[in-house]
Amino acid sequence: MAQLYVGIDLGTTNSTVSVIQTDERRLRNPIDHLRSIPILQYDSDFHITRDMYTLPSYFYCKVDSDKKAVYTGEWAKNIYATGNQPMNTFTGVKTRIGGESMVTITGKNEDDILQLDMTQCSALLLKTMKKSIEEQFNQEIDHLVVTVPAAFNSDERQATKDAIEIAGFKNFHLLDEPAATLLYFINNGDGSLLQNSIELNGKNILIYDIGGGTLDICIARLEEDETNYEYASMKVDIVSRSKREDLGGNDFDQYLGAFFLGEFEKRTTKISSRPSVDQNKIIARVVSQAEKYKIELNNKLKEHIDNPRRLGRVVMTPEFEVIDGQFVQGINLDKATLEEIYASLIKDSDMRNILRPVKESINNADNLRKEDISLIILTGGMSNFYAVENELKKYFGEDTPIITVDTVTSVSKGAAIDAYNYSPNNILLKKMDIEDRLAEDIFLRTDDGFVKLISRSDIGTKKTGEFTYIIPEENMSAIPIFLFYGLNPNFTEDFTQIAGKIVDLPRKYEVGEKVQLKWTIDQNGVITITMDELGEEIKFNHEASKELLAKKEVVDSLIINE
Amino acid sequence: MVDQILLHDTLQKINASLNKRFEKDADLYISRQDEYELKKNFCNGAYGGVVDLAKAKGISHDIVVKVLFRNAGVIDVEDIAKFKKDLKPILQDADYRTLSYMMEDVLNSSIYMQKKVRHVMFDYYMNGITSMMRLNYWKRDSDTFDSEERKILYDIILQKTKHKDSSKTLQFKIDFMNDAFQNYPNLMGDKDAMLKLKKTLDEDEKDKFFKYLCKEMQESSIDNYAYDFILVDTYASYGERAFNDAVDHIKSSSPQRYKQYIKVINKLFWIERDKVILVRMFDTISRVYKSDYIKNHIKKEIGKKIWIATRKNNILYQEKKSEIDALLDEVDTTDKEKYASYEDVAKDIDENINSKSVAYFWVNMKSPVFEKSIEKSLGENDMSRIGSLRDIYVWLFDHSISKGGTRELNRMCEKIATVLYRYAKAGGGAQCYYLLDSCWLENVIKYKLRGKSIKDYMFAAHFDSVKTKKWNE
Repeated sequence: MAQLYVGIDLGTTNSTVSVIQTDERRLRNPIDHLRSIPILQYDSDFHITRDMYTLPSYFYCKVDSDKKAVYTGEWAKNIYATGNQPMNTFTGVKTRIGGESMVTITGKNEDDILQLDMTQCSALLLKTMKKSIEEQFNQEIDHLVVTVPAAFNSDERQATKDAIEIAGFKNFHLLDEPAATLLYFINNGDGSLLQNSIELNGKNILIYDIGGGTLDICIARLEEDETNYEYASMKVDIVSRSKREDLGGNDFDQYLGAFFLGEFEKRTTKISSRPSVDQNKIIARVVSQAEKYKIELNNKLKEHIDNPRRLGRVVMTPEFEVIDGQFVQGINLDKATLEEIYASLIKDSDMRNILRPVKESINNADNLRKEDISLIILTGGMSNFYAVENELKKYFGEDTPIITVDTVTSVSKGAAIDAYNYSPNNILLKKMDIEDRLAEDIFLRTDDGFVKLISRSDIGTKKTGEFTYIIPEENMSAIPIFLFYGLNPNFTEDFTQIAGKIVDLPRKYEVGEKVQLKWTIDQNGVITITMDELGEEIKFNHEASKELLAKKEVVDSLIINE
Repeated sequence: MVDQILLHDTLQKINASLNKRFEKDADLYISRQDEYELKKNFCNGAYGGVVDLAKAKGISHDIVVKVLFRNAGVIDVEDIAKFKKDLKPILQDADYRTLSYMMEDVLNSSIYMQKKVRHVMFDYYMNGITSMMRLNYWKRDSDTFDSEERKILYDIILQKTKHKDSSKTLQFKIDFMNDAFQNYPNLMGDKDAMLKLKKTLDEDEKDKFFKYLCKEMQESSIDNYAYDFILVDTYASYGERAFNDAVDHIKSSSPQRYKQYIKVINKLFWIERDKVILVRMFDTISRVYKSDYIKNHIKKEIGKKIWIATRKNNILYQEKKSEIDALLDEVDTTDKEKYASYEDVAKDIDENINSKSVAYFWVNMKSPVFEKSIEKSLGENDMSRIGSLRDIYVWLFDHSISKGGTRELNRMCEKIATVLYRYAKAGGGAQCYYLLDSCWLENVIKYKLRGKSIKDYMFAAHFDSVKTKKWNE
């Protein structure tokens, strides 16, 4: 019986699925069975296609009294880009998951309403992929791995897990995106390891993962694990990682879109004088067109990147209708203009930009200089953008090698390898023994301020710990347990809440009594707190099963891509 | 050249449009940068900066309150008065309806909010909602709110709720108040808990409420010491009308709850400032006191409670000095001159006079006779007397408390500390010494008394006790 291991890269703008299907009768290296699979969806002309290997993370919903239908993927993206259905299309779910965001879609009648939170939207993308897997493999999935940004907090991870469950998957775990890329890389998934004769042992590697919505930096020190005779393994010590940075291709699209819109408004009127539906339509169009021109111009610039004379001659003249026969036109878009538009995103400064997380990650590591980085691995859709590599070269110098690893499917392929490795019987691929760390410390909020619960550097070796909560008031029958990411309690404006709730105590406590709390971080990066006296886990970032079921019912009632 | 200002302005427009799509309420959208600036001001206690920023950037007050809720977990308010004062224009102006779901998040405990901030927000929020919603909140699980919030809700419901049939409003409020007191007795810890109801009434309702209070004075619907206290206060707030009613009751042939009525009269002599009314009340009560038909125990209670109050009221005392002094002398003789030495105390013990009475007269002895008699008692050898002294010592402290609260208790503990210290230095060791020392220590710790002699003796005799550490914290 063949085994099926699946990896899903649930991306901000695109998602991909990779699999390893092994068969005991075939003795080939499992890496030879690693492949991405097409995802069933409608193409931009509304034809069912089985040729697309990416699922654009876009939604187009049709709501009426008889049925509620959702289209995900290329066609939805196309409808979004036309701006013709501004209130029925949306994207950008991943960067909002785990929060309070939700979308409301109304039909012709006011009573026809579809309301979805980000967990349900993610579940819709996952269901689309599940359907494709089922169609192509008539068998159960042995194990599934879904990737998340390394900087996802406990709430976001839990919400992603909930989405996977709502989509109907079983036997799964989460993996950080940079770890997936690294796993793919050390297994020589795309051959670059061998082609470049790279020696990884004892080296510090910086993984630079810039996707549609998030930028993840991870610095890892790799050592061959010679203690393990059963299978090949590498010890991966995460030396440092970046804080959550919502910066990706979408931001570049919005900057260029803002430039287009600004030029358009100079020639016509301000769009704020139009109804909000029109405004949404205009913005959807300019941002979608901006994405298109960004990719086209980047491709042209990259062709001549080593030839300054030709590079200087590359110019585009975007032209497209914004609304009511009025156009963006008469603009010359060249490298210099593009870099002016993107100045605050690409130029080195203290503001949010493509280099800041790199510098912060190096500064936050113990005894590490930029010269100690032996290799930079670039991945994520936006890493194709010429300025990303340029800025990294400027910062690290020409001598530090930069390798771009399959920017589209490396993460899902790494995830598939991890799914394969999950079974202890599978020993043919290289495994990773990760000694992780957090980007920031985790604090517990008390009435007196913040107390450090988990130190960011401890997490590699310490997956559990204890904390003594001293009761501050008479007759307390509940205590607040709220967790926050942060670095310095003197600057709480930079703190972000991870999860929390007021926890009922089993009895009334007196001032000065001690309550012992235990924390655990599981394989998925989800933090749980337990209290012996309570006798059960404090589930503060876990949807009650009843609520989860109600959400699942809504998702299951929707018709997807039919 | 790309116009960077235009670019960023347009970018904000795009961001707002894209993000609004995901807001539960698009009108409450705020850009990430603006939210961060507000959050920073909140975190640094710069509430004026919050107001200025909102004004400068045209951020609606609803949005500011939303940012406050959303980031409450990281906001540490040190000066709550400044918080309230500076943010008043924003809190008052914000539309509570748009923020109702955020208050729910606080009440359901999914947002951490410092208690003092929570109380301010709760007060503001509960003032804004409808009466029906407030009553629904009131009915929620008893753990939903802490005692402070329950009190806020109680106050607002009393102030703002009206029955649709206005003639039934008073009864509604009375029923609500009784229900509240029965379910949440802590509310009665506020001495104005009942007076607040009266303050919401018109003249006609006040009249009806007095009749209700008269009934309650005769037979309380709630059996609780705190209730008796607030009932007396509210009843007494009717002034001479309450006085006349109270006097009528204590004059009756078999007065019930006479102590309650005497408390009312006592209270009125403390608070009344109108000379004519004071004189009239004094003449009435002294006439009643001197009359033959008043019962002895009531007379004694009047003597104990009322004349001191009349002495302390300067307006009345100036008018009736000689009469009041004469009445006080009469009481002094009865109360303070019964014992002249420990022998008198011992005599009453031998005659099996109850411990409470012995202690009452003993505690009224003047210094230094009192101290000497106490010292003498410490050397008592007679076992039957020692048995009674055990109870009498306890009552000494209790009487002091009833006589003049902790101040009086402190005075007596100072006196006893001097005696105990002297006795301990001389060798101590007697059984009565340990009995008195133990009662004394218990009261000193319980009420955290810190007179000079108390401290001296405490450190000399109890410096290493665990209890002393608690007293010393």
